[in-house]
Amino acid sequence: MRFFQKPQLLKVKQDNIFDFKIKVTKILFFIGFIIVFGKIFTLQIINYPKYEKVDRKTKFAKIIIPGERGKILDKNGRILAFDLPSYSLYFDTWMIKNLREKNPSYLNYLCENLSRILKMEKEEIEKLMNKPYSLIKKNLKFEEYIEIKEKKLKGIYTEKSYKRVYPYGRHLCHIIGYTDTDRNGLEGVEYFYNSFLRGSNGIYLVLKDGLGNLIPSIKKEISREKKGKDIVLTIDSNVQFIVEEEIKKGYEKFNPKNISVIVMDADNGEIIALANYPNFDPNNPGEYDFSIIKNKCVTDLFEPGSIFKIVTAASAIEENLFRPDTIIMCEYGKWFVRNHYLHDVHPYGALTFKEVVAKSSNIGTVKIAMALGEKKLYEYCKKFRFGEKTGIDLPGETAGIFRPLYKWSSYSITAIPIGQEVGITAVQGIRAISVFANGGYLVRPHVIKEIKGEETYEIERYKNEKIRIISSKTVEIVRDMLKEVVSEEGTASSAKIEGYNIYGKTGTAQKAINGKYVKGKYVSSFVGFLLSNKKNIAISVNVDEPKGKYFGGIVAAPIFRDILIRIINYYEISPEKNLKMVYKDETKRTD
Amino acid sequence: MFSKKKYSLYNNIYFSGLLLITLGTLFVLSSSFFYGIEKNDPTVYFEKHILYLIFGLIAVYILQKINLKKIEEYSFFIFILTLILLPLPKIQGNLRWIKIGPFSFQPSEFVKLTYIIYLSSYFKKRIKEINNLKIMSIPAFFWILISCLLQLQKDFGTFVIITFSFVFILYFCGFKLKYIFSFLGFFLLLVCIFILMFPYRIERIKIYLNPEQDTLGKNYQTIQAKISLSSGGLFGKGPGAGTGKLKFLPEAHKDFVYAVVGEEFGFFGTAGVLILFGILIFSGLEISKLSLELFEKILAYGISILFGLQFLLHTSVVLCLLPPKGTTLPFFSVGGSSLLMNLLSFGLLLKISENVKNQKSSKDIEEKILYLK
Repeated sequence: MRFFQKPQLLKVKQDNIFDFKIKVTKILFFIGFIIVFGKIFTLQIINYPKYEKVDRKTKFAKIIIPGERGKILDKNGRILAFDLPSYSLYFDTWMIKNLREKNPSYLNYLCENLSRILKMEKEEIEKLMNKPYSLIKKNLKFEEYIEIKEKKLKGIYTEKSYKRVYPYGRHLCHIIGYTDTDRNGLEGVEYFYNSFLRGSNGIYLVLKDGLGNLIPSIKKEISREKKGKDIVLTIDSNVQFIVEEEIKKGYEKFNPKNISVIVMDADNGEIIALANYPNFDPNNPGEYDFSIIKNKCVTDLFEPGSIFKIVTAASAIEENLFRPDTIIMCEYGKWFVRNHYLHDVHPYGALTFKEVVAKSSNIGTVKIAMALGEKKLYEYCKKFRFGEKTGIDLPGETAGIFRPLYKWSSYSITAIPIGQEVGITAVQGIRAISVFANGGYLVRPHVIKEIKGEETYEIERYKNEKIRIISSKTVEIVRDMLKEVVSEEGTASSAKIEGYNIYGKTGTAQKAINGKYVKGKYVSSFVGFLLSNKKNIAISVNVDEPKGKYFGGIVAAPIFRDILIRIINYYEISPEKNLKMVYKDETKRTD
Repeated sequence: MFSKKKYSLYNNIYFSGLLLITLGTLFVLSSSFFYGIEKNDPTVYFEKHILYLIFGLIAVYILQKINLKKIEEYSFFIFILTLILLPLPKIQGNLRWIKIGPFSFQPSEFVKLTYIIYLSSYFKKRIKEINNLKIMSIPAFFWILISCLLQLQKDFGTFVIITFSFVFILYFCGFKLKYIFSFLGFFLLLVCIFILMFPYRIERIKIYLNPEQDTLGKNYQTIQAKISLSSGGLFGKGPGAGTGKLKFLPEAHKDFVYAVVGEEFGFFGTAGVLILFGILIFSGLEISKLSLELFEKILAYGISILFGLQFLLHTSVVLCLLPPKGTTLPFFSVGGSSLLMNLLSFGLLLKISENVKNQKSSKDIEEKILYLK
């Protein structure tokens, strides 16, 4: 009733009360808003770096899709190594969970189909489906993969991976090498040209949901996967087959520790074939000892022995010290020089220079070398680059042993000319003999012809890397001597092929273990070449510790001959002097 | 001057509301997309939201045409109608939903609004006798009834909102502070009982008190809310580019949508939404202050409080200021009933501000004094 009497006053009072209450309410809410504002400010501005990092780490999964590795091909395009795609089958757990709720009958259909295609028990697949990890089957067969793709089943997905496959198994194993399970090269060309062969992996960031399931449709591409480069070798697979067959025969005959053979185009340094026996299967490298896996042609040293006499002789001729018909006294097989007795296997009296080389007289060679002098001998050996890597594009090459002049003892001049105190690799040996095959040039041995799609990579430079080290006149004289070696009078008469220009030199070196020569352990070797109008082919044969016979002319030279006959046959090289083609019958004979 | 202010208040409410509705629709699409994929239709939530939005906007339009007196008249019936619907989900066997054909609908959302309407009309008539406990016993009885029914639905968030709306309206209408505080004491007792009734709530509170205790298990969602919101930085990852909604956040499209806003639109987005809600709420309170019709005054106050409480509760949960509980963000969260209720509230507020705009100036006040009769 009071309100009625004083309406004006009442209104003011009442309104003021409401106004005050609204003000209080506003203040309360304002405080609330300020708190919220402060909190979002601290979270989004001040703590941003901290939580952003957590966010990035937890929200994405890194997926790596392997890139295909390049193929390795031989000269004729035969595929020697390639990547075989293999597929693994997984359950899409996210989809399965949804299907279970919405369409359980489809899961049954899915399991039935999978059990039929994969030939697994249905119960087994259902059991796998209920497990937290999602792999169903690794390495699907091709027809399984195709059928699954055609069915367009939901709730599963496949993942592509690759397996390195060497279709010819042991063939060319030492050149090709092998890869590890991640398909990184560990030996041979696979290792040496790994950076070219290896495809780059595709890296993707795939979004995860809060339950840890991947959402493959939301993908950030960091880098796309790329196929590696294909590599073409200088190797001719057919020649390689010949070599591998022949050294296997030789191995069975002499039962040595190892046989190494290199066939090289003497003119440009292209390796046509390279093989060691025993060999390994690059598809299962783990089953073999490293001593078998390593490429002994480039990693292992041997004393060249008599082979080295060619270098000594060539130096003397280059220096005009001797003519081929100069008479040298060979002291009847025993000569006391520099406080040592020097022996010949067969005692000779006076021999011509040519005969010294052909009959491989130690005493004669040392006399030539002493006439030449230590310094000159050293210089010429250095020209042949002994004690240096050849630069062949295979891993694990060793430089060899050739001591600098100041480390030579007084005895050295009687040892080095005949190939003692020196260690060379088979590749160095074949490069040295090639000098006389191609007219005096030192070539660069190499196994790669081309890297496909890599035009700037100059394989040509290997071919053109030729240095003249000996004059052609000297080469002619030395060739004459080397032909004599392969004649009836020489040490390697068994290497002779009628109608062809074959040159070579045998070597038989006692093996030294811990600085002392061991009796009964020899390296028998033969280096030689064929000159023809088609191809100048150099071949080196090294037989490590043959049982029974050990002379290079008896052990290594026949292997050389057997290989060369079949190579002549393969390349269809016609004989000189219009002789009839005897080599066909020869092939039969050696079989 | 005066009328200009009233005019700008109407505009404030109109434009902030429209902007919030537009932004909200955008975030419904963004935050529900992934949940939609699970239902084999990415836009299923969005399409439903649009449908409800159309219904709601039509309702807003109708509200502008009718006289609020009518609503005042039928407020009790409207309230009782929604109250009767409240226990229906339990009878149907759902938690909070009534299903009628393809539509489902959540009565508790509507009770929030109808209870405020009911309170407004009830206290308008009895504002003088408000401190008479006999008068108070009826709304208090309804409050207890609603609270118990909401407990059946395990809807703690709505319970808190309704309770605080009730308390604020009581305060506004002049209920004595000592009664209010004793009521709040009773409320706290009730909360303790409700918490003890459901052990999972104890767990939540334990985690809230020691967030470092268990970073990957039960506290996972609060940490994820922080990560999502914070990783947006200043400008956010861009619309739709957020990753928290991919099941890192629990119910990202409902209870944690503010984190999605923060992640996709950054600090600008969250602050912007905060300011828009601020404009809406403070303008609403201002309208209440200017309104001379007591029913509308109380209703405008109640609706502003309702928006304010929903916004603050939602953001507090997302920002880990309060233990997690399910509260939606008006216009932004997926849910047809929630959207409809918020649109109706917005429509009412808009209508009241229009009435205020058209109100005669202070010289006519004497006539209006009669409302106190």
